[in-house]
Amino acid sequence: MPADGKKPLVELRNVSKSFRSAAGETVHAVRGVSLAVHGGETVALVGESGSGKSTLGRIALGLIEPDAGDVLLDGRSFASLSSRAFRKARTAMQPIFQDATASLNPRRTVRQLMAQALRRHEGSNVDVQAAAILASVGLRPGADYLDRLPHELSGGQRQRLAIARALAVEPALIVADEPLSGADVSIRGQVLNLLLDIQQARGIAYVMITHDISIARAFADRVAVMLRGEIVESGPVGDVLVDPRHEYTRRLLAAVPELDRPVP
Amino acid sequence: MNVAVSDRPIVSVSDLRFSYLRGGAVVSALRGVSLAVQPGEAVGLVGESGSGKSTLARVLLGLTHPLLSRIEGGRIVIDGHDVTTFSAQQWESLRGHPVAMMFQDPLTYLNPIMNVGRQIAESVRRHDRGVADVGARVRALLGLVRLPETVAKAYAHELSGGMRQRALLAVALGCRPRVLVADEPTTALDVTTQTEIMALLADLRERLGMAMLLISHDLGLVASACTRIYVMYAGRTVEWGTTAGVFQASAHPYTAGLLQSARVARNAAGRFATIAGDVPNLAQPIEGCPFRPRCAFAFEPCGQMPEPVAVPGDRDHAVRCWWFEERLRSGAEAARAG
Repeated sequence: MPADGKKPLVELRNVSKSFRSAAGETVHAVRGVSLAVHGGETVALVGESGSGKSTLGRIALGLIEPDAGDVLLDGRSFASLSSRAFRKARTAMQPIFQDATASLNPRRTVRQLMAQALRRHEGSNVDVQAAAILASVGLRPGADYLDRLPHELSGGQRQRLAIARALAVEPALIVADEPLSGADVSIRGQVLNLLLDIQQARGIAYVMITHDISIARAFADRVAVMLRGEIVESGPVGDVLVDPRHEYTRRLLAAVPELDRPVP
Repeated sequence: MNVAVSDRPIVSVSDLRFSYLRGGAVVSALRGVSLAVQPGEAVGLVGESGSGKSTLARVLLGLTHPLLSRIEGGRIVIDGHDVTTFSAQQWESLRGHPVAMMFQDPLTYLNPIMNVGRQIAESVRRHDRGVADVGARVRALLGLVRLPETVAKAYAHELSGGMRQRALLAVALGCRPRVLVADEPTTALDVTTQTEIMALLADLRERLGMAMLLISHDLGLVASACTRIYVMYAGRTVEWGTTAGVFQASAHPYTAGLLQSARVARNAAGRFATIAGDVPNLAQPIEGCPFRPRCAFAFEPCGQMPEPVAVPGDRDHAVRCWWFEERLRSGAEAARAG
């Protein structure tokens, strides 16, 4: 937690990023945002489409270079690293995307996909390592899955495989961009529990990018609410999502259909 | 189960069974669906992927391919017409009026090279032939879905997601439908836009006296919009009743699990609720209750599919579950003994 004064794992300092739209207009996706993520904590980035939350996630992953501002990993600026050192540093941060199916090459077997994630050539040693990681995400026994293709797995299993691939390089941070929005309600709990287990076992930090306030509330320690490229409100989930200060956060909260508030 | 005897349901489906034919394989997507929508009523249909809810929507609109699928049994009656064996031509006369559809992805259903106004006009000319001034009707329809008249000249790609959904709704309303089948109409939208679209739908239903069958995986959304609800699992309707009845006193273990999962809260041990296992493969035969392999309460009778049994306390509430029947029986026995 940030309170102990330890230096953050990843720190975004006043980062901005603009894109040129198809119509030739400049879109300010992220405007001067600062955000710190500490080891082992979970930060939720919430907001609607176009709020800049996914761009911010990609900046944190080192997949997009900001126009202005700085990204620091363990106190070291990305900009100060040689490209070789940067590539190495970047593996400490792994993405998980919304669409597990699209992020898995359909022609590769689970073995090949895991070997690629482990950055190793296939071999019996890879099999053992891959099976162990697969088992840790609930694909047990892992060896039984190695010869399968992605389409031979269920949606929940594919999401587990995507998580297993992210874990293969033992990252310190996982940026999960809407990892649950394609998942069924009954699968959602399984994936969230798995992410909690992984965090407990490995002390990984999460940035959870989501439009779903209820997931942010139940899963994250801290939350940052984004609107038009800026963080309009941030803090512990228990404060921001219980007693919101910003008008926009209030509107977002009011828009969530509540199960226990059925039609009169 | 009907709300009032004098009301003839606008949509009535009984024991519908339907299969897709894939190569040599037969995927039995609907394995016994029964539901009714009364005029003016808002009914929710919830289920997870593979439950058959979107298949049902397509079958209801006659949008399935006659060579790649077939109705295996049961009956569909729409506004008094038995449409179960309708031909494509017969469907054409019924689609739009009395039944119209709204989809999750309006971009797929709006013509990209025809402006919105012409698409609405086409729908009016085809299904509402009594209209003399089509242009005036198009403007009225745009007003009805709260879009400015200038949108008539716009193309789908120029509109935001929420505006596209409104435009598609205007096309649907051009047919003066008595029932709107809305399949995940807000799933692709932001929550604040979702709120606007749902408010618009509620308002239109009120003003036009239109019924709605809202198909969604989002139980919260259905709870906030519908007075009655059906829960589907593996191609069957397994529990139904008033939304309040089903949500507050769910009788089927699947419904209970779904509700728990949908609340996205951690229990005392810090864990999220889940339903173990996966949905069954619909290309395989399923003996008995399809939820049995995932059910914590499964016992011997579950090898056969139970008939619907009424849930006390709500006359519209019923469930297909042996375990619930068993609980009812033991409860009644305990009451007699006590």
